[in-house]
Amino acid sequence: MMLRKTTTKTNRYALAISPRVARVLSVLSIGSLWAWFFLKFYLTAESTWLMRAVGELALLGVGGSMILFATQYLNQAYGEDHEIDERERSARDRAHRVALNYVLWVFVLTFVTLEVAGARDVPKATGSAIGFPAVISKGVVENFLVVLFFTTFALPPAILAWWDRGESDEG
Amino acid sequence: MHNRIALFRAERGLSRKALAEAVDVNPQTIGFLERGDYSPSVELALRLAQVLGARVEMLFALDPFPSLADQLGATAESETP
Repeated sequence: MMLRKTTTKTNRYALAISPRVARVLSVLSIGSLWAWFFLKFYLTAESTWLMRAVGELALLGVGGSMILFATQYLNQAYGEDHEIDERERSARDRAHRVALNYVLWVFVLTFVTLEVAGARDVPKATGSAIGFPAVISKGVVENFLVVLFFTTFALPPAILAWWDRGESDEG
Repeated sequence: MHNRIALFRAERGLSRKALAEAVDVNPQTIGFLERGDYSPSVELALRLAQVLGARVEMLFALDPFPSLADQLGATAESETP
């Protein structure tokens, strides 16, 4: 991993990582953010070492997203029209469409989950490790928004990394 | 869409990077164009044709280009007395 100028017209400096590393990083960061959210949602605070481990998942997720955001894929994913060429603009727009679909699906699934859980006679929040908590606290909503923010933020560069064939500029 | 960008680029002795700089695109875009993974806009097609010193229809076609070896063979046969 090294800092070098990108091949876009802006010639900005970005972290140069291989597409394979970027793909692994994207799965790790997005996966660990969602894992953190669900584990924190279900786990009780009794086990401190477990809660600490779960907290580290969040650090991994946020850190991974930030690293991904600093790579060469940032310029293409969030570049202005005049900063990237027509093929890159086309890829950027497709990546953002995928990210939009992701957000819409998260909203739909959240809505359906809340409706299904609300329709059932679930016990009130007991803090038990299993079972859907009946009370969605402010903390849960905040965690949900953190996950949604960072995963949506990291998704366009991640998608571009998955589409990158990793070919050389020379030839 | 089919193209002969790689052929003309090699003929002119240009690297992908040099051609990319000449037509103001990312060098990776030249690779995408040569493989037929991306169809250029009319503007980019015209710029490529200008830089490679060819007509647009010599560079791009909707149908596959005939094999160069077949074309050369046919030319050689017609020239044989």
